[in-house]
Amino acid sequence: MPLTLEKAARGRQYLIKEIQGGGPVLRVLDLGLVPGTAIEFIRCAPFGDPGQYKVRGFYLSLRKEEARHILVEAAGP
Amino acid sequence: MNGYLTVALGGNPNIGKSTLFNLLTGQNQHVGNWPGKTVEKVEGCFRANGKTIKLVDLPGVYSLNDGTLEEAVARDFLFREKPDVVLAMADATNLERNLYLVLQLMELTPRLVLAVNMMDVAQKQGLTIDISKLSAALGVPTVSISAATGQGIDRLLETVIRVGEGALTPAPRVDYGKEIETCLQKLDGLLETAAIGWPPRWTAVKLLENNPAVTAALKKAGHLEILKEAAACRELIGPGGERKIIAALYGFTHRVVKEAVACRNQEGKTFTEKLDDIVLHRLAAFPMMIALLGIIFAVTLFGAAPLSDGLAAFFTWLAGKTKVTFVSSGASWWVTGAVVDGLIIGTGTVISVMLPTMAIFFVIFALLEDAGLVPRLAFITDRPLKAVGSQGKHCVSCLLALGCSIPAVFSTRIMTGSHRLLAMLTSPLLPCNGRLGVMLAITGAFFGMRAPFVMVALIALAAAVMMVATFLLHRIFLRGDNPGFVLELPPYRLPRLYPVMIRTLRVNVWPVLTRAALVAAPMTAAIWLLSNLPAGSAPSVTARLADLLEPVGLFLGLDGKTLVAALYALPAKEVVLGALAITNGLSQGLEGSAALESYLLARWSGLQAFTFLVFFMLYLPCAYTTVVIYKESKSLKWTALALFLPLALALAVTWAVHRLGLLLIK
Repeated sequence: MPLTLEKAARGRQYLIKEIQGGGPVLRVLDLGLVPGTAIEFIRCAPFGDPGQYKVRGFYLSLRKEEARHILVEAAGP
Repeated sequence: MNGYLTVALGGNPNIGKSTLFNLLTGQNQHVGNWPGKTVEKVEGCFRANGKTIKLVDLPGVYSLNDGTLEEAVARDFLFREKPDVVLAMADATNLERNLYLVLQLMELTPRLVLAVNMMDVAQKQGLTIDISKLSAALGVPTVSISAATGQGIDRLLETVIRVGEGALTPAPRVDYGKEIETCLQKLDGLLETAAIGWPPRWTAVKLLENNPAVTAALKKAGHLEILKEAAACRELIGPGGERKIIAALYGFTHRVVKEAVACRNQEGKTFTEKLDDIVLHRLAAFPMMIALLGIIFAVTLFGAAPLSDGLAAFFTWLAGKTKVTFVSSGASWWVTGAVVDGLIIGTGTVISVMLPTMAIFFVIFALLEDAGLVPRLAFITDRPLKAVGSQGKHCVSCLLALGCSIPAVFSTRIMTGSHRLLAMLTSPLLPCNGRLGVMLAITGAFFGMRAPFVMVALIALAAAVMMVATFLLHRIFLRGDNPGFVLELPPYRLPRLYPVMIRTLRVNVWPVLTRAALVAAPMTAAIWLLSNLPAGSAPSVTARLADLLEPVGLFLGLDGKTLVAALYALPAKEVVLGALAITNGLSQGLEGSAALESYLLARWSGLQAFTFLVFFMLYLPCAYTTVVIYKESKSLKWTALALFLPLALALAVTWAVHRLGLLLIK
């Protein structure tokens, strides 16, 4: 089972491997979430969704349904 | 060249583009819409180094091919109007992502100047940016500026003018990597000879992405050999051409930034992260947001009250003076009545109630937006709103609606697809300052010390009805469409009071107010005529309407006269008290009557007062809001729904409150 951003642990670094599927999630490519990019999961919103992520030095909010389509691998602490 | 330079200002959202724009153009701005689009267009003129420059602010976008309305507007402008210079702006603290758009702009035009903004902030974060290296790597003249302090602006303008006059020729260089570049060069050569009218390299990139519009256009023009070559190239680079292009561009920005930016390693968390730990805290986030809302309300209400009283006194004085002038010049009684009691009092009420509250409320809101708090509000409220088919930005529109429905409807432009329609149709259900004022007066008269609790209950009820309305619209009319929710959470910064205030007053408050008064004035005059014609002993039109609506009124625990008053308050909700005075025969005009309060206290029970407020809070959007919903949605169907849905819900909820209240009292 490949790791997705939805299952990322808080405060850890990941590398993006692939954005799966199409539709609205593809807009994250334009924001720089292309394969090989480092991404960190910072926190969830109070109701558990969406999540706050740090990528290329800026902060981004993604819903779980979007994070599910982003394949990642663990990198660094 | 026609005597002046046209310069297009492009860049990502939230990077200080409008600060630079305001700094350059000052008071000479024109705010409108892009032709046929509901996207704001701002342009302005100024003189620099003996040249007149027309500056057009393009919508803030992340990309030129993400399919949003803003992106289409920006691209169309660059294609059709062919500005003399494109001034691309990038945020120094976030260069990698900002340069991505700059690269796309570089593919469209060689006449480009890059302004790197917020160099001072970047330095504080430990980033040292070598501007000459950056300029050399991109092949584009680059100037470091600070839009907030005005630093570097003279050099920027000088560079822009030199490029515009042809004294300086940029040679933009975008490198996609060997594989894609080989394909691009092949196609570029073919396109150059074919002279298709578009930038050849840009077209070549679009062909590799297999862009349907570009492919179709080339097919139509008969360039079959180019299309054949493009298909071969796509075969070569493999599937997912568009993704590979994006990845290649980000690969290039990454290399450029690595070369030109030295980064001192940051110890620990940034300021924004530390503040987010508090603002977005799991347990504390909501209580803090609610407390903040409470403070905004208190400041708005207490700050606006004396100003409103002053303006109201002025209009009463004006009405009195005009009446004397009309009567002494021998105008007939109904002309005097329509002009004084209708036009002046109607317009006067709109201005005296709306102007102070809107000015204070929207300036506070704009400051919070400038500080970076508003996207955080969308972030924490996304989950509950997702449950009813919408998203967090919907909450931002609802919050604005507590000030006035019209800016709330405009604010839905930050959403797309079904989310935008949901927010546009349901946010007017929340009581605007016109309704809140009436609610405060009536709860104060009927509930005394308990009035604040009644107010909170009413607003909570409005929020609940808004959620139900969103859910119903989503399930019945907009099922299946899910635009998603991707949102940047910009870094916090200190809001800039003066420019934010000026912009808010000029863009949000003043145009809304003048147009609202223009819609309200003739309607209030008409209401005066309806209530006072025919003259004599025959019942007026208003009295007949009240008889007609009596059964509906009784069904809701109210009466026909009250419903007619609500109907007459459609031009501007704040006149409902005056309208109640008319329909109950206490006064001839909307200016109201001192006797109204004691009259209502004697006739209405506490339950009836509450029932009336529920109905009044929900029943229909005001006249100008309806006009704006039509203009924004461009659809009669949605406008009709914007009227029908609140009315149906208001009837159902008011009836339920009335019956439930009767049960509880028994």
